[in-house]
Amino acid sequence: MTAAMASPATDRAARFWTASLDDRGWPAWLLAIGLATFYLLLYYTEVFTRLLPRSLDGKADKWTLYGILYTLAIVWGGVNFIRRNGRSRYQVIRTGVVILVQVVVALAIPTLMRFLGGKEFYFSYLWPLKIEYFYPQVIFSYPLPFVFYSFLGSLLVVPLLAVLFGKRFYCSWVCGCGGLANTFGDRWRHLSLKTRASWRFETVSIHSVLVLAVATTVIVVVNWGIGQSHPGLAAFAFRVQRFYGFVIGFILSGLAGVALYPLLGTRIWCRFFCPMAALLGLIQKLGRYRIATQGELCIACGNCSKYCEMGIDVRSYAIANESFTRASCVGCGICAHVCPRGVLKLELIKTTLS
Amino acid sequence: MNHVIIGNGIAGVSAAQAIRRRDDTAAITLIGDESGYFFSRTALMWVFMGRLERRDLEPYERHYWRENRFDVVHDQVVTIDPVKRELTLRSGSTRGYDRLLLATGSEASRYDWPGRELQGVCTFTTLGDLDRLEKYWRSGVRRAVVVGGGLIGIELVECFHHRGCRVQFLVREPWYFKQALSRQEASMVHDRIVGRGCEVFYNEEISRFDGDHGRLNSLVTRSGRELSCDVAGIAVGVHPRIGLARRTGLECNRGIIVDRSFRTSIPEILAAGDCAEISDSGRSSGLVQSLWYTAVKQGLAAGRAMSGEEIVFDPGIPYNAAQFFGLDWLTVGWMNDRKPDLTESAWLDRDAGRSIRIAHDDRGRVQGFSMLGGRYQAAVLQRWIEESRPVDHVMGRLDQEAGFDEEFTPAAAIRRIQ
Repeated sequence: MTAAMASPATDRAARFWTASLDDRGWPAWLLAIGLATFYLLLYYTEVFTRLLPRSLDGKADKWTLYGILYTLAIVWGGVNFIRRNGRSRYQVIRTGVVILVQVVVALAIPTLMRFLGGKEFYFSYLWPLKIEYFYPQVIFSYPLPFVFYSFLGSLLVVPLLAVLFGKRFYCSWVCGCGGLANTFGDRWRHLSLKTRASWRFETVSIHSVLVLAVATTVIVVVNWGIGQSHPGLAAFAFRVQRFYGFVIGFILSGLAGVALYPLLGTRIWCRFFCPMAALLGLIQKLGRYRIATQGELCIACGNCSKYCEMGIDVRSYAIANESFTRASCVGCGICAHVCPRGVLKLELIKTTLS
Repeated sequence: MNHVIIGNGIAGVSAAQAIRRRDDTAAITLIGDESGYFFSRTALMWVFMGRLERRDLEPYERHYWRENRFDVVHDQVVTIDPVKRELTLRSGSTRGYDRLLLATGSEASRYDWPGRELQGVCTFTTLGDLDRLEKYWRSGVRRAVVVGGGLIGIELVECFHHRGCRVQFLVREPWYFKQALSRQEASMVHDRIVGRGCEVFYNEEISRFDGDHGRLNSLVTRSGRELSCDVAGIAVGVHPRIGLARRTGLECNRGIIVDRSFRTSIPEILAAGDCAEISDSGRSSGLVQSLWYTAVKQGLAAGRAMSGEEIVFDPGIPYNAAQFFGLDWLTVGWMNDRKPDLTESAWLDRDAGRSIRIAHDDRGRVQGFSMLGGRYQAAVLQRWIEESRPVDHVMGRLDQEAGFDEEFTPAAAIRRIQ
């Protein structure tokens, strides 16, 4: 109740800071530049390597440090999110799982594997998101169970779960990209681009990256088979791999993905460029997941569309009383949570074909 | 065919959409005096709380109006000439019409309290009201009073509380929203209000406002209670906006009198939404519905009538929904206050904050629902009323068939209390 007794001056000051940080004011720009600088330093310099104690030489590197920072951001953001949204069971459970997966599967297990002298493996990242896990030279360097995990995971289990539960099981419950977006990045979700032009761009860009990911994988696989006797192909394959790793892996996923949080919202990578999102988005349209609407209760307030991090105009479906499954919908559930009239509900329909 | 609609709120826009769906070539003009483009009035509270921006209030992107060939005019109609079928606008221009729809909506009610013109006394239904409240907050608000125990009143309490000041709530009745909630339900809302640190006073009515140099600084109630305040939010009801209709010579009562085809007393002029009063001929008092939901229905039906369809408007099974400081509420059908011959049964899970109240006839057939603290499908509840289902049938299937809570919501341990 002390907040209610705040003088107008402090109230304005507090609101200015958060208002500016959350609505593209100068603090937001500063943070975006800071994040971009962080990523550039991380990729191009050894500034962070020098921060590690010498004794860890070989067992940990700057990427381990990055993983720890990333995890801390998710834990800190996640705890804050749960405190603000505690009355929603779905949000609390979902965020709890996201934190758990990040800490255990994306940080502790891979780090432990390195400490025990082996190579790290990220069980929560699969092809095409982690494109290397279909590169023969990478995946075959792991014991056979890992190979099965990668292939069966990407080609069977993940698509099956997307049909049964929607791509949300991955994008909002497991993946660290989504994990950071919905925890640390939650305060910027309303900045997602809402225009028709951005939707048009999205349909082209994300499927282009999927095509590129598949093509790159095919080239790498073919090269692994016959590259020895085809130096031209080998050189080409090398350049394609490097191009994909740099443009998709660094620029779009890392740099643009996170640095743009305070300016364009948190799911830039997921919505415009992630090949896994593209694939699962197409799959979920054939599956059970949808957002049910009861349009007769809709008052067109716009909270759902405002807070959709993927820039989906949820309100237009609610007004029209149309239940829907959008390929880009990651099932975070926030639209249903902020709706003041109980118009929306994430659900699994009984039949598989809508 | 040249259709002109006065009022670009939800009723007017729904009518326009209904006409366009049936007639791709008709000229359709929407004239709004409050804003150029249709906006969701119900969302003003979230703009005040900083959760939405004004632009977010518009359900349709600006190109929608152009693409569907709606002529959108931001102006005020000053006079209607039913003989020449012409409108005169405040800007001086004139507009002809073949068919005219009045969808002028409601306006906030005030009573003749002394001091009501003081700076700081404000209603909350229009964009202008929003501007006024923002202006008051810029000069500092430490104490606010809300007058009126209804749906806008509770929204004001939530709004003022969110912006950080002491909030005191004056309710005329012995409990909050007595016209729609039982004492039990109102006590759950009371707990919410008080739990957030606001105060509620029941059986209180405004006597007068007091101020200094034109600025509000306190108010006094009929019982003699004096409350110091910088802002007083007035939410004591709304009434149809019928000034223009009256001046034009349309037959009016509380609202613009229309038949079940939305026809007013003057040919080719219709009225729908909050401003209309649907009257079966000869009756002294017709049906005035001042909800967003009913305005949608009326607007759509009136649009179809304007397109030449034979319409006999049936309001259907009534329903309403609201949220009291985050506590979901849905009502469908008729409760004991509307139909006194009905019996009510109630169930409660106090810990889960969930209450169910069902009105049924003497044969146990459900006629009305009042659901607090959970999410349900209105259509299913309506269907059960239409099908005259017994209470046991409904209670046995409530969660499975009508439940609309988000996944993982724990089942409520409700027990019968009435």
